[in-house]
Amino acid sequence: MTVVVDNVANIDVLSKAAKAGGVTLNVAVDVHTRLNGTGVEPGKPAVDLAQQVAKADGLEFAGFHSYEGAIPGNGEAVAKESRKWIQKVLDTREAAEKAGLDVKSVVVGGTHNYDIAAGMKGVTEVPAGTYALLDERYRTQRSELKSAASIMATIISTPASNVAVGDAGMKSCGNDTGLPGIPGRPDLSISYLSAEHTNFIMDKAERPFTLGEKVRLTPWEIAVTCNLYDYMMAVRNGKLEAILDVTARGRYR
Amino acid sequence: METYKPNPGTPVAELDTPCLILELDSLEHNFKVIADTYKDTDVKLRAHMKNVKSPMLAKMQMDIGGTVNGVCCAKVAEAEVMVQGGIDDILIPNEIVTKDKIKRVCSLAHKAKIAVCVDNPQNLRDLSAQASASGVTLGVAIEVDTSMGRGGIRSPEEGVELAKLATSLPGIHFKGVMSHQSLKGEGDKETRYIEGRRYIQMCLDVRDAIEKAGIPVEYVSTGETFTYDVATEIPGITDVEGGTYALMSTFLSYMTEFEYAGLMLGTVISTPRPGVAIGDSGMRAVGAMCTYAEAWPVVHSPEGLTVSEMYDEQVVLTSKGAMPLKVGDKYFLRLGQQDVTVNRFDHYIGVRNGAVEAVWDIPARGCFH
Repeated sequence: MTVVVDNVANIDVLSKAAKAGGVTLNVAVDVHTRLNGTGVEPGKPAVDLAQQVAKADGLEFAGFHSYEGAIPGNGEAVAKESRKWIQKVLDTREAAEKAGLDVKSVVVGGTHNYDIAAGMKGVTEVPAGTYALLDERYRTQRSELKSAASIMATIISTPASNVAVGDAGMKSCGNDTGLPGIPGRPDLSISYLSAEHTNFIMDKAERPFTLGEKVRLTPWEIAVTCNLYDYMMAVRNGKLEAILDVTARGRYR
Repeated sequence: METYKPNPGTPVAELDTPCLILELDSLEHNFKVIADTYKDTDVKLRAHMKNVKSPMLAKMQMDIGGTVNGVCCAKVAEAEVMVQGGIDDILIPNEIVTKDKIKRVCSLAHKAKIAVCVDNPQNLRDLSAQASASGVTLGVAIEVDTSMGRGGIRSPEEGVELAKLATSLPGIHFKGVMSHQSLKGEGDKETRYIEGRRYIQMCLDVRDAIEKAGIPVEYVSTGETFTYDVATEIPGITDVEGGTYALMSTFLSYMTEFEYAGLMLGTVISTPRPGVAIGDSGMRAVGAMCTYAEAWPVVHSPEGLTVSEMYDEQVVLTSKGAMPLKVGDKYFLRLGQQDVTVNRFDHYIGVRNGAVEAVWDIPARGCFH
């Protein structure tokens, strides 16, 4: 079991709890890079914290962790930006080793730069997740991956020639960071999601939707969508093959 | 399924987070505002269950007063939860078109008064055929598009044609007209009256045309929290489909008669830089349109903090001066699109005077089909 820390007081709490529980906790140091979130500054502050971890009873220093966030753009731009931030973590690793620490892991990167991270010596793990089901956010960045997940919606109203209404809205798609795509239908677009509805624009439709028609939507951010469902319907060749529980749905704590 | 159920009496400071808090004094206050508003009026509230997703909360409002003794439900699955929870008058302000769902609606009609909305003659015929086959009568209201540009008829003439068809079909009881608005405009009552009236009138025009054709119209179900009081001054409206008022939303912050009953409780997990605290309640728990800063939650307490960024599992809080929060401290957030947040939790943690009073299930969570 490994957790991350960015704070001395937290090391103390973890150490006491590990000792009381009779276990050893692996603890990595969370390093602040591109995002404005958690993490101690790279370089000396991170190495100092790592030494505190290494000294603490009941804790085993595991290494360094940083999440540089989803980097937009394609190809060389993503590679350049990724290398810039990951290098700061690798430099921290080198400084820690010079200070006599055993750095077992450096955990960085994600679906957008999994191969770039893998090409940098000293990176040991890439905590990527989106690659499995893929989403609209990464689909255009990562053409070697396929969209495995989609939301099945039904057209419930065709009230005007240029409008169709689907039954999947914010609650069933999850539009925290963007609108879903309509695979295979570049002639259509989504104007907005309301809580329970999809509003399709059909001004340029080669074939307008009909009432009751099923439509597949690919979520913008699959992690949001998975967290809304208790089940995934696994299909193959157009037929249901299995129903899988989403057992960690709603586990925010 | 999340199973966090802290014991009654647990102080807020000891709760595991993020969790969805119901401030019970505020909830009861909001229910009372509705009861007082509609005490002596012809128009009453038909509380929208898309917001609270709980038959228990529906019944609390019914007991306090001001309602038609019925609710509306966005989806068939939501209506199933309400009927199983003992609610016996439901309007689904939505088109139900698939065979499976029409059968389920007819099944519910054995146990409760059920009405659905239509905007299409073939859909009306399909509903009639299944209602007849199931031996039930389905209520039907015609949806009128006023401000949303989505489902609903676009003209009074279309409404008259559908109403005529509805009255001619077996298994169908023509009830009236329905329209939904989603208004978030600025606040004084006069402005809201002008804006709300404009859209509600489009719905009333359809009613007038149908009545002129000799068909009685039982109800006009329209409006929302934005126009809940305006509706009392427009003769002819029978139901207001309000829902947001119960837990409240930052989108309606100018409606100061309602209190923030639904809040997100979070814990500070990191204070990495001066004036910055990172909380554990991110987009995943809060939800909806986080690419727009105006949809972000607003810090309810402590005072003087700003939400400056949202990440999947974290929120970044900033202070102008020294950050009052330390690692491990709690904070409360007010919600924007609060029905989306409710849909992400399995329980409400009901709190009064800073301690847990009750934990209530949200049985219609995930009922978006």
